[in-house]
Amino acid sequence: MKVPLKWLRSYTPASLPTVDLAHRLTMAGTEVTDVYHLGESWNDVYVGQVTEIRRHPNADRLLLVTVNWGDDRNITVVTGAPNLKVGDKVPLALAGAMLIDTHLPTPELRALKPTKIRGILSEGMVCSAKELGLGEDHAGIMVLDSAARPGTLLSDELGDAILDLELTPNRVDLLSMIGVAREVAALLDQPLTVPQAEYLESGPPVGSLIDVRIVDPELCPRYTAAVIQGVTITQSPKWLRDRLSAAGLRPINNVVDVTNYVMLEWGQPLHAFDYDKIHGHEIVVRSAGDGESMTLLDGSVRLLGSENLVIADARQAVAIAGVMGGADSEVTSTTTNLLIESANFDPVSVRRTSRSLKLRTDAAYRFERGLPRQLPLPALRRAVQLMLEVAGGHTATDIVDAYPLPSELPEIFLSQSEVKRVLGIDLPIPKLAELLERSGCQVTREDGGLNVVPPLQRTDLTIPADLCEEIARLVGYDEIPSTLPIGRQPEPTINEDWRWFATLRHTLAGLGLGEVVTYSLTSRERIGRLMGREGRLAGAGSFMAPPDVASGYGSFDLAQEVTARFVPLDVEPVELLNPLSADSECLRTTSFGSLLETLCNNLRVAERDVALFELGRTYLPRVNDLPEERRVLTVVTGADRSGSTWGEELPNDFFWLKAIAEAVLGRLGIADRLYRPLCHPIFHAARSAAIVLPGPTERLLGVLGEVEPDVRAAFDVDQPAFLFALDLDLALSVATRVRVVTPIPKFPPVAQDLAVIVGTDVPSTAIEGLIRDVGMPLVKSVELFDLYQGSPIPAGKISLGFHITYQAPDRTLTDEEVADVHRKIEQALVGELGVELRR
Amino acid sequence: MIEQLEELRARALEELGRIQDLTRLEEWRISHLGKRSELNKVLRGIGTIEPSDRRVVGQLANDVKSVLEGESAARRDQLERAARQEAVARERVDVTLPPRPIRLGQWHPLTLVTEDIVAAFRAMGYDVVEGPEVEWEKYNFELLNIPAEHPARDVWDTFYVKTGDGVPRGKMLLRTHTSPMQVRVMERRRPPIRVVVPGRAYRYEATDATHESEFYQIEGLAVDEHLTFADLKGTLTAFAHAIFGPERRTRFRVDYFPFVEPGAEMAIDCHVCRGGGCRLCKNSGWIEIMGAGMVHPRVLQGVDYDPARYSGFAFGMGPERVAMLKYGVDDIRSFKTNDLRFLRQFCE
Repeated sequence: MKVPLKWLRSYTPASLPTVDLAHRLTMAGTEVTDVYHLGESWNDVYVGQVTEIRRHPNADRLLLVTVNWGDDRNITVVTGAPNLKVGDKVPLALAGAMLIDTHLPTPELRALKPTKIRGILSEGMVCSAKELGLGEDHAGIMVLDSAARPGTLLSDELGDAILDLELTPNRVDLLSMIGVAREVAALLDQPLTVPQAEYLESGPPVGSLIDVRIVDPELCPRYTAAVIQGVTITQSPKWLRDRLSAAGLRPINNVVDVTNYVMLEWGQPLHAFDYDKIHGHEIVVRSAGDGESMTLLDGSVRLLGSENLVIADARQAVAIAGVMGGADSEVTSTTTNLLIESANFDPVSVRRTSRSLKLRTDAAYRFERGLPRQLPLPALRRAVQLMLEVAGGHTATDIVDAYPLPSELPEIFLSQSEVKRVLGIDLPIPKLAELLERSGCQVTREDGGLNVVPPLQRTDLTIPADLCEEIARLVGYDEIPSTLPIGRQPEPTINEDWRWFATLRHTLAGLGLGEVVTYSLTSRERIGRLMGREGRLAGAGSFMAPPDVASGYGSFDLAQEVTARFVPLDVEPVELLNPLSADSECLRTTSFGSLLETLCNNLRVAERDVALFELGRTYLPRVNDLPEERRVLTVVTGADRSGSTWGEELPNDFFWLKAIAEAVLGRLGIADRLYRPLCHPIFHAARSAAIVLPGPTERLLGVLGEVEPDVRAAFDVDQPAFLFALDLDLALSVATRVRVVTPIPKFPPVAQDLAVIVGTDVPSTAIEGLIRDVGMPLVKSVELFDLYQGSPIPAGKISLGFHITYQAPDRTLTDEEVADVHRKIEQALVGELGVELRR
Repeated sequence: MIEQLEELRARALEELGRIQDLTRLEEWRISHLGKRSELNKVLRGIGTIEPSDRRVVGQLANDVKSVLEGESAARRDQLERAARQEAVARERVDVTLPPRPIRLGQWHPLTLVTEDIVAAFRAMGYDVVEGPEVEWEKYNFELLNIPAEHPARDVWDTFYVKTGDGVPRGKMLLRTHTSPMQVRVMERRRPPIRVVVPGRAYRYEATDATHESEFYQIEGLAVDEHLTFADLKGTLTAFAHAIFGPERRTRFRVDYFPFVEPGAEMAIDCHVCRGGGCRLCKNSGWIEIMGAGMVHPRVLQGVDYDPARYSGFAFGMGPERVAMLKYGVDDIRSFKTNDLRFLRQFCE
């Protein structure tokens, strides 16, 4: 909303520097986003009056013009302009004035200096509109209004400041100059004058000229109209054109300009019809028939339907209610009789129509915000008054007021204690009354408080809380003290999950991984890339078909579970109705794509040492319910990391990834978990595992492994990559901070080594488990220290070396005791697992 | 005998003077002071000497022994010190060389800032809760006093979610703010309530340097008897001091959010220009931090709280904005680009 200050000041003094006024409005809730100054640079330019015109003695085409600029101050200037007459009021620039030098190729501001022109000193200059920055007119000197007073600053005469207000949706009243003036008057505690419309009704009774019928009062609770006969369509007077231009509207003709002016003044949109083009001289407010069409003022032809409310005459629709008028009944240069409409329409209906037809007009913008039903009448009267003033003619006696759904202004009871309860400040009742009256409320004293009727346009004031804000606004938020709440504290509750998230972040950052935050919105294409280049892994129609190389590793069920939990590529993602782009059309069902993409982006700028993690969500649709939002930890790394000395690079591998997984699970206190070999299309078939919680039915907790080359290649990752994902919903449900401390042993440990050759199909955990079982309770720890494959170890076999530490809590172990247990362990390994002992 | 001892002493001392390393010194000690040394023989054979000479010879032999011992200890000390010095010279490191490459990871700046903000409120007795990002229209709008077709909805450009036949079109959406959790928390708990809700929200708007279609918010809600607008001001001012420094000044201006009344916006004085006006604060001297207000009576009624008995305040802010101010980040997109060259500038 653009508010020219001069216009505003016709209702309220607003006597305060413009910056301060802008600040007051902003602090009170209406942000002034910009202030334009018209005539800001006219420091030494005054209104002057031409008193004498003489020929320049030395030049035929130049004139010597004497200009009076108040009292007996006269000045002679040299000019070549042909349009001046004695008595004209003109802009007079004195030495030092900043004017636009129109002779330069790119005009710029220059300070005026007294100059001798053909031997005669010109002490100042009379200006064209262009030289003042007021337009392109440079044909002659700008002639001012004859009422301008010589000697006043031109900026006082013509200059203005225009405030650009950014309105909040609740303040529909501020879509009018009177509303803004009321706001300013309230904030500054200054008087407000609302123009009263008075005119003579000399025409026939309005009832004999027009008939108004409303079909659905819910959609049109009120329709008022006036008829003016014998108008002359012409250009509006200068004051009217100036005000509209300053407010950002283009002047059109006197009738249209008045409807626009009253809309800006009162906030009530009006429409003027050519009365003679209203068939049957009847107005019907009705829904459009399906397939009904009309040509609008903007020249477009629109097809309407029953959801669009129209204003129709006896034959056809003549306007789309509250949105735009029709071309057929438009006011033209030949119009002589007018029908002026000032009505109230249902905001939702106007909004829907304006949206579906993509017609965002000033009228629709106001109606959809909900205008008061009391507003059409004063606006209509004001319009009639101005029409008679600027277009002549005579108005019918009385006006039409079809008001099937009358409404009253609300009366709100505000108690003194409520103000204290909401704001925390104690104001006496007279003070409350004074503040609310400043806002234009009608206030009556009532026991313990006030009965308040808000002013007409303040539709935002409906309940006591609104009045509390009104009071706080006028007092100033800065005047309300800052206190800390006293009284009850809620019982402390600790969000354990939130704590765990911090633990995980500390742990992973400590391990050298960087946290990332990726988008949840993604595309099907990006999710689909997890099937490898050209969807190769989709295999025989199903994503789940394990690649040929993999047969023998892991179980099909486990792989299927991994798919369902971490990469459900067979699930249709949650899709947006209105995506911004195809790239963000749906919510991700898996975190893998986002993380592989982020890995690739980072590998591009850093060759190595890229290790990332994310604590994020995935979104799985549910029937007739909100999607399931799963929480998942995802870790991704590239091929290598920094070693422990300069320049050294350590290759990342499955076991590095497993170390990260173990560190995480250790911190979460999840000691009881198993690693199962996994064969899954996303992962390297021989270097991946599922992490499960043991139990009667194993539960899938996580997955880790080297990413299948085809999959990472689809994300442009050109080096080995590793992925670890943990189901945080499950993990946090079993995580624990409880730790049971075992005392530090008092008696010395005995270390023994054991080396075995075993088939590669025997999992290392089986050997370790057997050592612990047989050696119970003396085996304290089993630690792998050597792993070897290749000559002289036969193919299909592996050599493993373990450090076994024996220790008893209550005595020093004897050599015999240790040798005995160790032998038993060896026998068990040979007997039960078929290992060959290495000596 | 006496000459023999004196000659021995002279010879030993002369040899000692030529010794340059500890091995030779040890050999010298064995030969001159060891069990089989000449001196030891003299001392052991002292009984066989004429009684008249015994005292003098014994005295001299002991003197020689203590002289040799003293001198050799001094020599040892000297040689050891020299050896240590040599070792130090040999083992010198260039302390300006880089450290061994231990890589520490780091938290994402948004989680860092979120944690800071949450910690400040936790210290004031607030509990952390989280909620769904895909929401019902009812929670995102209706129960927050933003009815359908109300122009206020234009403020929140919304992504709607495709649903099956069982859910009418437009009823499911990506939450445009974390405010729906105000309602969900009030439904689940009874006053006194104090919660903060960090989480992700979505807006249908093109991403640029200051706008993200996916972003974070932190919502706060306190509901009890006797909570006032003054308490809101005090709480948020205390928060601003905790996060931005105790010297920060706060400013509250009137603002409108349909789910609060009165509504406010809190700003802090600009840390760059200290209120003088600069590019960061668009010459206003103030930087907007968050929206806030007293919970709207209709929102309380919507969850069956008696608005005559209970009051409360709510607030919401964007961690992105806070992080941008705190770390001097000028492009909001930096946070989701996830470039390690950016991320590694953060800690913890």
